Amino acid sequence: MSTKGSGVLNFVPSVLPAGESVLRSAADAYSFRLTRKTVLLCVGLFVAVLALLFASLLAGDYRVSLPDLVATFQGHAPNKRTQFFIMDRRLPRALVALLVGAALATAGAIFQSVTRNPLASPDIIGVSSGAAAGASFVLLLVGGSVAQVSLGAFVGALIAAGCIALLAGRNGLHGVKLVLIGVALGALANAAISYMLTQVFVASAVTAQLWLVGSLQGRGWPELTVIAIALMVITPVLWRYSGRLEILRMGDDLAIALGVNVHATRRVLLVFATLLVASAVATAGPISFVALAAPHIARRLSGSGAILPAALIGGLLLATSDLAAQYLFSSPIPVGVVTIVIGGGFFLWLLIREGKQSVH
Amino acid sequence: MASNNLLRGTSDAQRVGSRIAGTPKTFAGMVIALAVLFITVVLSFSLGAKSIPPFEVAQALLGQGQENIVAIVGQLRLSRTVIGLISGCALGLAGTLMQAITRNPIADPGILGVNAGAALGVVVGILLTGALGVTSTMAFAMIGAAVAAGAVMMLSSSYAGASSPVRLTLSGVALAAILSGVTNAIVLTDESILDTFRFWQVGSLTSRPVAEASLFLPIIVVGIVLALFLGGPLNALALGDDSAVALGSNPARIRLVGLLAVTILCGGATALAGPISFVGLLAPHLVRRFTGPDLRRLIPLAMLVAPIILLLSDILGRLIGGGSEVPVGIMCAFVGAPLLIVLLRRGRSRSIS
Repeated sequence: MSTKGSGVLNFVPSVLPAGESVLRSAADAYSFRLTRKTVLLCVGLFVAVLALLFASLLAGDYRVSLPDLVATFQGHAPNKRTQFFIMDRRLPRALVALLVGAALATAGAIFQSVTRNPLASPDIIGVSSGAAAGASFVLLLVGGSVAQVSLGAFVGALIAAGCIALLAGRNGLHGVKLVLIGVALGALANAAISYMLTQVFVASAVTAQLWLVGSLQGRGWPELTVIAIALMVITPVLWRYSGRLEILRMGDDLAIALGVNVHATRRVLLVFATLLVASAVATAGPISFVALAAPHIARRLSGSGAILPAALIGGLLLATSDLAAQYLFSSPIPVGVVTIVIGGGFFLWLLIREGKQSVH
Repeated sequence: MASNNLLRGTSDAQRVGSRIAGTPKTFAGMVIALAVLFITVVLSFSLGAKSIPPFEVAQALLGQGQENIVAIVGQLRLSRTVIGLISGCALGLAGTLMQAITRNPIADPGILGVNAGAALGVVVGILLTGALGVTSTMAFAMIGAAVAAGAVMMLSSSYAGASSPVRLTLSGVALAAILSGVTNAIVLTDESILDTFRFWQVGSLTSRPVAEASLFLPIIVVGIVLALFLGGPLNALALGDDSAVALGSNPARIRLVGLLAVTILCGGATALAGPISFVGLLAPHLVRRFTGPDLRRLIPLAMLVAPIILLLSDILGRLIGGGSEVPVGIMCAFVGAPLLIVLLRRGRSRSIS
């Protein structure tokens, strides 16, 4: 097999350890190191995602049989209700859950890698709160459209991320100080949100509160477009930067020695990760702890900092939580409550475990 | 560095021996704090949408002068000033105690989730019984605060807290997030609960008339007395559990009494004025710069300084809001969060990470 492929991706047998190979594009412009473990994990996770999607389509009070489901997808639904429930309600909602989860997890993995800080996920360091404050401002005080709310979320998230970068300073990004500065900024953003909630009529406050808890209720194709575009924008960037991201994780000195422009790389990656957070928040509200937990779980399973498994796990986490939120209780609850309780517990466990490790 | 300070401070205190209130410097500090508090109270009576000169305030309090001024001073300004004083004292003491018990300079009932626990208690109370009276609000707030404070103490004695104050703070943040997540879910089930809750959760000194506020006084006084007696024992605890035992203290009992005091103070303050953050963090930090780490001086001074911060925030919120005022809880967050960031960025904060 030739190492210089003719525009086709091909595997290169090489001196790498067993179970690893390098995926290269034409003229070696892009290359990926693949481990067998990561590939298997991704395949497994992808199967799980498909199974979950299938379950989301079948679950619910309105029963749809398997043949009807297949027929609906082939374009001739048995009746209008089946068409409506499958194609307009369950499918877009499940896809939104998967994509929002994937977006949050990807952003979390980037934040954690770039800062080399396992706790620095956007929901802990106040970027999500900044996005929520920006979106609330547009939603409550300006009364904007979906696009304008997304813009507000992006501006808010960018301001929060910028403040953190400025305040933490160049050397402060790794430390816990960064996390605490983020906590303070988050408190500030939340105070602003609480204040805005008191300035409107109660009906708007109810709508905003539901959104602030984090809910996927009524999400459909328009919301799916926003989050899908955001993910499509970031994918080529990540493809381009994945090697540098991995080098950054080894520390600034080594990265500089290997010829990586550390500050520029960090800035680009953080801006795009912030964009992801903002679009996820604009779509489903400030859902907590998915961005924190998914990269951790992925690291444990794959043994590497690869982003794709983290994204798949994030999607699985949110979609599973949304199914639980819809059907596990006597009446549906917002998915944000499920993730905050499970994810908060996970966060506590993580802190206690890390504390134990640093003691021993 | 912080532990060095603590050691030095305590041996200082032991050198001055059995004198309880400490040095003339402490006495001077108390006098100054009282004077500033008095000025703040006067300002709280006179400034606002309608400014009233102090002399007319005094007249109005005696029931003389124009009718509308008597109404403003005797009802609106009096109640918010009294509530500010009571809840300020309580929050300042609670923050100081939490910092001492968890040995964590960035502990605050708001940041560590105790206020969130009290808020959850109140919302659960509203859900279970419909509307809440004054005493039942207080009871539910205290149950919620007790559960959250207990959880924080457990975390602080676990590896997570023992190994690093920052981990404890983050655990508290996670706890607060979980508690407020549940609170929000409950609030969403009923529009009328949400309508009450959204105004309560910002933290305000104007939500109750003075007659209701005074019902809180006895229980909060119990908390204040407990806190004032805890200075010496907590000094021993600051040396570490082993040394505290060697000095004849019982760390478990000190923590339990401290927990009780924190619960009473936070639960009471939250039931009275809503969840207010950062006052409990800032007061002891400001005071510590003058007193050093000796808790026998720190606790009474923090009790006087915290209501100054709270009332000044409230006055500021009245003045900058224009037509509508900014609630005090929001003002405290906007003043307190930047100060927390300053504290974190300063060199001293190296000792807390």
